[in-house]
Parts: sequence; structure tokens; C-alpha cells
Amino acid sequence: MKIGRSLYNKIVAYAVSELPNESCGILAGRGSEIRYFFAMSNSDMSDEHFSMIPEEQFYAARRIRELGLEMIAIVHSHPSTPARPSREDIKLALDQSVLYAIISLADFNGDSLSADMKLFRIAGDVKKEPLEIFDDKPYGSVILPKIVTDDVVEFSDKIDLYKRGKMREASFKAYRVPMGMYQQRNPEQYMIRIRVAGIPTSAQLQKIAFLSKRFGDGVVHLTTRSDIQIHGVTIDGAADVMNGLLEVGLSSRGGGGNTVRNIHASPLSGIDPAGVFDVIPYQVQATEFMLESRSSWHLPRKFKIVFSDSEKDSAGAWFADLGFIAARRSGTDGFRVVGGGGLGTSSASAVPLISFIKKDEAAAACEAGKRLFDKIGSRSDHFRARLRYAVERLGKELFKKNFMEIFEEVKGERVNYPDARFNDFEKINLFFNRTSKYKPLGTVERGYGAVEFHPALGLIDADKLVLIARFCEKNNAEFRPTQKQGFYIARLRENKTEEAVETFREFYNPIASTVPVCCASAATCKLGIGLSRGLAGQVRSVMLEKPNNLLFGQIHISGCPNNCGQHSTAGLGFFGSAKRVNGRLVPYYSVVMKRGKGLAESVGMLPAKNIPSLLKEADSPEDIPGLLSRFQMVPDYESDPSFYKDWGADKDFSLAGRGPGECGAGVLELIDFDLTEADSYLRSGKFYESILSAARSLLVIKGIDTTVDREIFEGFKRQFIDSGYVEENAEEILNAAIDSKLSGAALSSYKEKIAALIARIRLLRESLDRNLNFKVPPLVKKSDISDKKKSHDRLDLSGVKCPINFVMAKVELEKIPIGKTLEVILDDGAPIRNVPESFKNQGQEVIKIEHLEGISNLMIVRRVK
Amino acid sequence: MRNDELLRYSRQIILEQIGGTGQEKLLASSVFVAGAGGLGAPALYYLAAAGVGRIGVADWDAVDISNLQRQIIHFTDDIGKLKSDSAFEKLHRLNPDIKIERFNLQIDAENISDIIKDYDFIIDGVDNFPTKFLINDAAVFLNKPFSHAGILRFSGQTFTHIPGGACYRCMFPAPPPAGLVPTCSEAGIIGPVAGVIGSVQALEAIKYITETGQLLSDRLLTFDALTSEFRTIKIKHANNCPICGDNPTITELQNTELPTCDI
Repeated sequence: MKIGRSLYNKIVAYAVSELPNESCGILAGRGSEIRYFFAMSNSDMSDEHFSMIPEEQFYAARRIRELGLEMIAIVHSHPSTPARPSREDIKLALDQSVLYAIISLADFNGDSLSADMKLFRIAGDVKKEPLEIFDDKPYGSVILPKIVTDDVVEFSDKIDLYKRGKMREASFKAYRVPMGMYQQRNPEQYMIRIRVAGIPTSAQLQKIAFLSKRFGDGVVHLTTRSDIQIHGVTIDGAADVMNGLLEVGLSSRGGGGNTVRNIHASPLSGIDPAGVFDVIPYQVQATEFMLESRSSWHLPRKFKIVFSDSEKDSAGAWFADLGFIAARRSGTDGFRVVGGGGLGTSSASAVPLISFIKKDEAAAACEAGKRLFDKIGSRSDHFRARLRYAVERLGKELFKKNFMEIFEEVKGERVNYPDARFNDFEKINLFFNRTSKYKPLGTVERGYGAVEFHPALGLIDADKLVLIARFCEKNNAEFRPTQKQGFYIARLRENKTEEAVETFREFYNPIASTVPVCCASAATCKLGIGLSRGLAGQVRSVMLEKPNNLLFGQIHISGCPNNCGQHSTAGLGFFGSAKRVNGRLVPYYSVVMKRGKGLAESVGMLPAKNIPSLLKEADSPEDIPGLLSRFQMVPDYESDPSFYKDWGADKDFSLAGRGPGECGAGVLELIDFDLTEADSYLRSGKFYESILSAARSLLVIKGIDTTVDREIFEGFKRQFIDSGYVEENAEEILNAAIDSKLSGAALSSYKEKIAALIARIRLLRESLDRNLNFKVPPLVKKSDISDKKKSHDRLDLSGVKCPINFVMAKVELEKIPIGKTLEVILDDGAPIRNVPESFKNQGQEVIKIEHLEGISNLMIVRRVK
Repeated sequence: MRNDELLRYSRQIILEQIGGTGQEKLLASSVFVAGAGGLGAPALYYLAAAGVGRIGVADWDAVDISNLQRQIIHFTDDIGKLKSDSAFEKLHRLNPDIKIERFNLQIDAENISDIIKDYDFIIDGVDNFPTKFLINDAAVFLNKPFSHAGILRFSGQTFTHIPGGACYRCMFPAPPPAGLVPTCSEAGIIGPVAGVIGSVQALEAIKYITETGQLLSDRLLTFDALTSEFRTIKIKHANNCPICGDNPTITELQNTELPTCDI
């Protein structure tokens, strides 16, 4: 028999979690492969023997049939004795058609390999069955492709260059943001956003916690997109963090910038009874597929993909660039595909794209969505670049048609998509008493459930994260990140609920309104207007005191209209703005409310200071619109200066120091930065600097980043002039620039030419696709024709297609006097059939056609007109 | 001619009447287009595409959303930009090899001669009678050929003046009195009519430069989009023309103010 290592590890983990008692369960599979494990109750609750309970056995048998598998073995553990059947085991092995597996933890040291699992056939005598453990890819974990590892290694070099002053800040930004590394308001500190797709393991969570303590501020942040962020990392620690993440199969690649961002899924996928089927295998598959493709890193803007496991859309597929919603059609599982949604200053619901695709087509649909975005997304207008603006421009029908065409094209390609890997492990517990003060959320696994934790602001001390990870491991439970800055402890045995809640009491906030979902605002963002976290603290205090706080549901707060706090999805939400009152700036918030389906809409504005009072006054959210007018009054500064301060600020409110956001930086933005510089230098008469910036701009796509002028000019010549993308005469400009540096000669006579050069470069930049290739073809170089085509007295047009061969011959013929002849070499086939005819039609005389060796023909024309 | 130019213009070089020599003429030529609006947009576009080596464009106005229905050189992103800048950008992107000169100003009696004197051919794409007469008068004084056009609702007309031939004042001695100028509510225009007539103007310039075919000189071409009919009407040089007749009464350029409507 054989078994995959990840399944084997789960059997060991279950045995460990049941210590000190023996654990038991059933292994199912097909042929000689064990593929599925049912973890079941030992009703003896003993460390020396076990009994299964019939209801669980019947349930398992039914599930095995449903899954189309066969029962292979009954497994139980020996906590402190070797993996040999005891006399009692042999006596009770009544069924000769199945095998018996025993897992010994006698020598267990924490590594699953130190547990010993053996298989036996017991039919009167005891025969050992060989068991082979093969390496497999586990369910729910992303296997990072090599390209990500390579990128991290390469990025470590960039960090080094930047630290040594060999790389400009702007260049470094273009590399670090797509690596998920953002500068915080304190420019010495960085945030690293780790994409967590699938189910993070205990080891991964502990590593994140360790890295946060060792290199960051010791607090981790859970986001609204299932990422986990480490804050306060200095430049010296960044490479260590990224390499540390790689060790446990995690990465921040694509955590920011114009990339395919973290792909998230319904938090309880696979165990939520409302789910149509488990979408995690497809979330993981799509992640692996997107990660392994370079083209995921240079999109017009960010690209968000979401998998929801039912029409409830618990993951927010309708607000994603590309959303998948699990559906079943005549017995087949698949997805409804929607696209072009998104939250931001201008939010939009997605447009239905396809009513049903097979599940196996999800990865292809992701690729299609990405290509579509690359094709129609705007690369020139950063603020209207997301896919939803393309929907606006094209209209829904054309958008959909475009998607379908590309989807068909992708499906036609033979691509090896990463395997989708399915859950292979199920828990059943119909035995233990369900006594718990806290009722967990019921899931498909009977006797097990999920407990939602919602740490305020999504912040968890790294030390606490370690405890949570260990708790999950010990109880064989799962950490499932939500999209509300929180997490579930899922697949937890019901009678463990109380322990979970008591242990992590500070994160247990079952009344949603007491823990507003809130963007990071001043903590990391340079863009924010309001200090959303300060307001969130006030809202929490009010809500904790409020008798009917349940009515208020999940409150969302964003510091600015950008929707990082997802206020547009909220029943009640706030986003920051400012108003000038009595000549001074006052922090304000817009109040948004969602009524029915669709997006939340603004119902009015409030001074930040008045929001807590308003919430105290309102008995339910419905009261709020009517109350707004009563809370508009802003007293003058002298009588109450607190209105002029934001929550959590000690100084008066001001918008000074707000800078451009970090999130969109990438290679293209770096090119734009250089080109804008080139333009402004040109305008201010700094011609040398203008030429330098222009020449430097495109080098980044060829991986050249240098601060040495000579290398910039050489690189530009080699990469773009020699390859024909920029006109040959640009070399003259470069030479003039170098001369001017040496001799001080003025460059002002080159102004027009520099402008033309910049225009050409801008054209090339605008034609870049997601693989950073130019869509415009190279120019045909003068040297190419003059050298090759006009040697001797003959015009050699072999290899030149119709009708360009005719055009070239015609132009040459016009240059010679009437009555003289021109010899032209043409290819066989269409050229020799067509070109002489064309000359005759235009009144020229074709004197002779001669077949030469090989494929060429000689035509001789006399100029007669 | 460079090889990429050969490729760019190959489909017109193929033509017997153009050829490499005709193309060289185009590249060496210059055309001035007054107005980057409904007529100017297609004319400018085709002239730049055809490789007219130097193109001047004058417009003082900014792009308005109501222009976009017919002024095909301006896009939604351009709203608020100067039309001369917007046109410059598009033409430059269309054909970076040619020189485009932009004049962000209102053409008047003081500046017109200086502007047009260095161009081979003038295209009148303006939207008001005073300027149309001004262009005519300046062209006659400077012996410049120009293409006149006018469009309204579903119809358009155009003719080409060449020195010695009929001019605009030979047909219409003076601007119409104010009552005859369409009021704003009457002055609608269907976009493609501007495209048809503006394209004819570009053709006239290309034909003049390459000395190909017969120009619309001494002929007025009218187009009625409702009946889909083109007609040409013979026009004659008038001996009593106030500017090019035997006893001219107009001897210098003058600005006239008249109420106009942006059509």
C-alpha cells in the first residue's frame, strides 16, 4: 500500500491531538493507494484500547460511498507502545476484508517521521503489509514556484544595492512594492504583506510571529483580503523576513503593486454547510498558476481574484476584478464567473461574464481575465486603471465579449495547470457531549465547528499568534483568515470551544459592531485623511456599552474614499474627508449605508467628533439618516478646539504631509517617473539631465539599473538603438550629451530632437504589455536596406513580401532616367507573379524574367514614363 | 526616403499617380489648417497620415464634450485641453516623422498673413463667416491656393481656390446679413458630413501637392447626406469680384464681428 506524506502527517497529527488517549479512524482509498482519512471518536477514552461507535462507522461508510472510494483500513494509535497489534487488537479484528493500521507515538519527538505507522492483515495470523510513503502536495497549501524564490533572491540584491546607495529610491520602490513591501509614514520603516492563500499551517503562523518579533514591531495585522502583515520592519531586516517566509513556503510576492494580488476564498470553504463545494483547491491552483507567470507582475493596475463557495458570496466575488462563485448545474460542480467589480473611490459591482464553467476551467479563466486586463486596462491613467473602468469604457456587452474571446483562446492552448488538490481528511464526532457555554458555528463535520475571532483593528501580538497556532496544532484545528481582519479557529471539536474562547478572550468579539473593520490609516498609509483607527476605537467603546449593539452589524471605516476599510460593502460605514469651517480644517466623515443589494451609498457627512455621540443616540442604524442634521454643529475654535482635532491625534487636523499612495508602484511607474523628469528638465533647459532621464527610463525593463551615466547611455544604445526600437539618430543625441559633459558645449540646438526622443520612448512605454515586451515593432533601420538591398546594380528584394517589394522597386525605378533598365531580384511564388504585372499595369516595360539558381528570379524593367 | 517611411506610405506609393516622387513631394510640402474642429479633424488626420511634411494647425478653443460627436481628433480624455494641443498630440502619435506647428490663437486680420505665408496650401476649417472671408482675402492677396468648405445639418459644400481662379467672394461678395446666419437652435450637424467634406479637403491638398487629377477649382461640390447626392456646380471668376475683380474695393484685410454659433 502507499500513502501521501501530507495525509500521513494528518493521521499522526490527529493521534497526537487525542493524547493521552488512543485515537482511531478509518482509511479509505482506491486500489493500493490510501487517499482519505476519517478521524473518529474513541468511545473508550482510554490510553490502552479503543472502540468506535456504530453511528460514526455508518456515517463514514456512507461518506466513503459518496466519495467513490473503498474502505481500506481501520487505524488506531498506540500512545506509548510499539506499532504492533496487541492481543486485544488481534482478538477484536473481526473484519478480514480490511487492513489494520497502527500508529505508534512511543518515539514521537514532534516530527511526524518519528511516529511509526504500520499496516497489518489480520486473518487468524498477523501479516505485515508494506507501506510506502510518497511525497505529495498537500491540500490547502500553496507550493511556491521557483520563480518566486528566484525573485526573492534577486530582491535581496536590490535591497543591498539600495542600502549601499547604488540604487535610487524611486527604482527601489519599483521593486519593493510589487514584492509586497510598503514604506510606512515613518520612512525608516516598512510593512511587508504576506499573501496567505489556502489554510496557513501552524509552522507558517509561528514563523510569521517570529519574524514580526525579530525584525518588526511584534504585532501582526490581519487584513481584509486574507493577507497577514508584519509592520515596522527596517531595511536591514527586510531580506531576512522574505527569506524566512520562503523557508515555510510563504511569500509577499505580489502583495502590492500592479500585480495579481492575493487570491482569497470563502473563509469556511469545504466545511460551511451552505457551500456548494470546496473552492480552496481552485484558489490554491489559481494562486500557483498566477505566481509562476512573470506576466502577473506588470499589469496596468492591481488585479484581485476571489473564490466564493456559494451565492451567499462570503468572499466578495462581486467586488473583485475576477470573481468565481461555486455553482452546481445538473449534477456538475463549476463556477459562475463575474468580473470588473471593485472597491475604491468609485466602487462597482462586477458584471456577470459566464453563467457556468467547469471547475477545472477556473485557472484558464484567471489567465483569460489577466490577459483581458492587460489588453484593455488603461496604462496611462493610473487612477482609472482598474478593470471596472474598462467596463465603463467598453460597456458590459463588449467587455463580456472580449472576455469570452480570450477565454476561448486560452482554453485552446495546451497549458499544464498545477494540480488541484482536494481535502483528504474528515472528522466525525457523535460521541462527546456538546457542553459548551459558547456555541460554535456548525459545520459539515458533525461534532466539530468554527469559532470566529475578531481582534480589534485586526491586530494580534506576535506572541499571541504563536499561542493560537499551537492551540490549532494541539487540537488538530485550522486557522482560517476571514476578510474582516479576523480569523476562525475551524474544525475544532465542539467541546474545545470554551477553551478556545477563554484562552483568546481578547479576540473574541461576537458582536460585530464592537469591532469595526478599519483600514490601517496613519499606521502605514501616506494617503489617509481621517485617522480611521482612532475613530474605530471610539466606535468600539460606544458599541460595547450599547444595549442593542447587535442591530448595528459589521461597521466599516476607511480613512479616505479609497475603501481600504471596505465601507462600500457596509450596512453602516464611514470614510474620512475634511471640511473648512470658520476658516479652519475640520476632520469629517461621510456616512454610508447599504440598503438591500448593491453598494453602500452616502447618506450625509458628520464632523468626526460627533460620530460617537450620534451612535449613542441611535437605537438602530435606521435612525441614523434622520439624526444626522442634529449633529452638524461645529462650534468655533475658541469655544471647543476638540472639533478641530481628529480622534487619536494630539495636534490640530491638517492635510499636510499626505503623499501619493504606495500601492501602485511598479516598473511602469518608474518609467513614468523618469519620463516626467525628462520632460521637466527639457522645459527648464537642463538638456543633459533630460537626455539622461529619458535614456534611463526604459532600462529597467531590461534589468539594468545603474547610477553611472556612461552605463546608462551604453545600455540605451545597446538595448534600444541597436535593436531598432529607437531611431539611429538618437545616438547623435547621446554623443552630444556626453560631449557636452566633457566640453561644456551647449545642447540647446538639440531641444527638438530630445523632445522627439522622449516622445518615441513614451510611445514604446505605452505599448508595453504585461510581459514587458513592446507591442510596436522595431523600426526598419536605414542601414538594413541601404546595405543589403542596393548592393551592385541589382535591387535584391528576396525575402521581401508583396506589395512592399513592388513599392521598393518602383521607388528605385523612379530614380533612374527614362529608357534605362533596373534589375530586380524577387522570390518565387506571389512576388514573381505579381510584381511584373504591376509594372506592366503602370505602363512600364518588363523586358525579361529569368529564373536564377534556388528560388530567386530576375526581372528587368525599363523605365518608359 | 527611409525604409520605414517606404512601408508607412507604401499603399499610396503603389499608386501610379503618386509613386515615390509624389511621396517626396508630400514630405517636402506644407499645409496650414485653420480650425481643429469638425472639418479640420479629418483633414489634419489624413494629411498627417499621408506624410505631409509640415502641418500647421490653429485653434484658440478648448475641447468641449459637445465637440466629440464629430471632431474625431479629440477624445473624451481631452476635454478641457486646448484643441491645438490635443490635435498636436494625436498627430504626433500618428506620425512622429512629420513636423506639426500649433498656433493657439484666434486668426485675425493682423496675424493671418504672417501665419499662412510659409505654407503651400491652406485649408479653411473654421466655423464662422468672418474668418472664412478673412482666409479667402488673405489667400488671394498672398496668391495661395486654399480649400473652402462649409457644413450645416445634413449637407456640406467645398471648393478649391487656386490663384487666378474663382474665389469665395466671386460667389458671395460679402458675409450674409446677421438674420441669415443660422441661429444656435438651427445649427445642428451630423458628424459624418464633417468627415466627408473634411476628407475631400485633405484630398484637394494632396492632389494639389502631387499635381494629380483635377482640383475643385471653379467648381463647387455639394453633398446632401439625406439624398446621398454629390453635385458639382460650375462657378466662374467674377469680373466684379470685390477682391479679385477688375476694380477691387477690398484692398486690405479687415476684422468683422458677427454673431456666430459653434457648429
